[in-house]
Amino acid sequence: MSAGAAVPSWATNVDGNCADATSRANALQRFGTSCVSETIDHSALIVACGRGDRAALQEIYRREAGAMIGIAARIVKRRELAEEVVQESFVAIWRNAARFDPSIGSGRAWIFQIVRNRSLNMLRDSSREMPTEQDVLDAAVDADADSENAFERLANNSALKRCLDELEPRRRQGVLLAFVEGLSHGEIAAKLKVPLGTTKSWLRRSLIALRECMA
Amino acid sequence: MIPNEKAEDLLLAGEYVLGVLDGAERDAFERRISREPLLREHVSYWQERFIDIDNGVMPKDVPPTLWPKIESALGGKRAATQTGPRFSERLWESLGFWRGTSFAGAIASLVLAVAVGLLAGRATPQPRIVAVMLTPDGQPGAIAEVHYNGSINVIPIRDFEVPKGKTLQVWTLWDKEKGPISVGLIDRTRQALFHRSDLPAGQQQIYEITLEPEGGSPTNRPTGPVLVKGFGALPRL
Repeated sequence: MSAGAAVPSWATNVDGNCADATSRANALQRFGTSCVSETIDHSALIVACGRGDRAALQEIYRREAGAMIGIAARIVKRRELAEEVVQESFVAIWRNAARFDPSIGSGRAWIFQIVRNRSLNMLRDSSREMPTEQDVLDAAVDADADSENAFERLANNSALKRCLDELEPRRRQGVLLAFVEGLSHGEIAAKLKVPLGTTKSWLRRSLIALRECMA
Repeated sequence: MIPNEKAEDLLLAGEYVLGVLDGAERDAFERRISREPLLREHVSYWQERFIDIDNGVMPKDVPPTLWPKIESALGGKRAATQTGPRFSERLWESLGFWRGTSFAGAIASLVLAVAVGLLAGRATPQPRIVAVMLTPDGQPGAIAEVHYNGSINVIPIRDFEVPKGKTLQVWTLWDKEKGPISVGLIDRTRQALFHRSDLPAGQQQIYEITLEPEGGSPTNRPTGPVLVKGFGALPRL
């Protein structure tokens, strides 16, 4: 591999100065300019993955692996399972990247959906041992695993926060338990102590209310 | 008024994004997504709204073993921008720069740490704040680079002994009333990147590393010995 070929395809169109090893070295001596801008969006990175650019995948990893483990951990509750989910997710990102359509949605949302789906698969895979009591306790003390906490951590200018805030508290809790902790209809029903059918209709009505509120 | 079928699909997409469709429903829905662009738009609608929650997630420490596992699961050739041989090549390239420099200890360490960030191929942008953390006997022990996007890169520059059952915990303090806030855990002496856009970054903000029980301080306040400590400062880049 020549030095020039080492520059990732998605980097060259951002900073032409990074196109060869010499200017990279010069950039180092200027102490500052990085060849990979933080502003390149995730969609471009996924498209590059679709072309077989492994460096683009690594860049996604560098930026998002920590958040991805965080998202998975809220659902699967165990650190090592969350890491396994993220490992599988990167394989899925790589294999499905060519089918990603940037015109339809953001790359980041696409990546997080993969993490969430893989987490749910792992959670619902009955062949796996259930978390031990200690794991559950550990998860409970991890404030971030708490869905109410996720709500509190929403940015103040978030339309979602404003609209979730308008929901009746238990309905809001239902939405958050589903999205943040990956609970099923049945599990939410048990947690909120309402019949299964009520849970389903609460969630649907909450979605309608959120849509109206965020329109 | 939205036609019924569309309204139903939009709700279904919402349930999909919430994650409450059961296995069979989800599979069926995903098969439909692959052939119905409108359905994809519905999914995207909810994803773009609920992503606010994911944006608030507390990123976890990424174990260094994870990327090699991913690479081996993928097989084939390695990434073009790997940190293996390229790292040493770049370090070598930079040696000319270091020759003849005569900065004093702490300053040299600070500059070195900034350079390490760049050399490691992580394409680190300019840090907003750099803190050089000193040991109790005044030796530089670790550096924190705080970036504009909220990421905090902590680089130990000496070995800390981390006994079994213990972990390093990074803290920052900007408000005495609030007390020290945990930035994250490092299981042993190694570089770690934390994404904490929720934390402020300022000059005179204190950064420190303590030795805590595995899993982090049980009280969410430093309980163990302070290994290194330092103030945030503006890097002169």
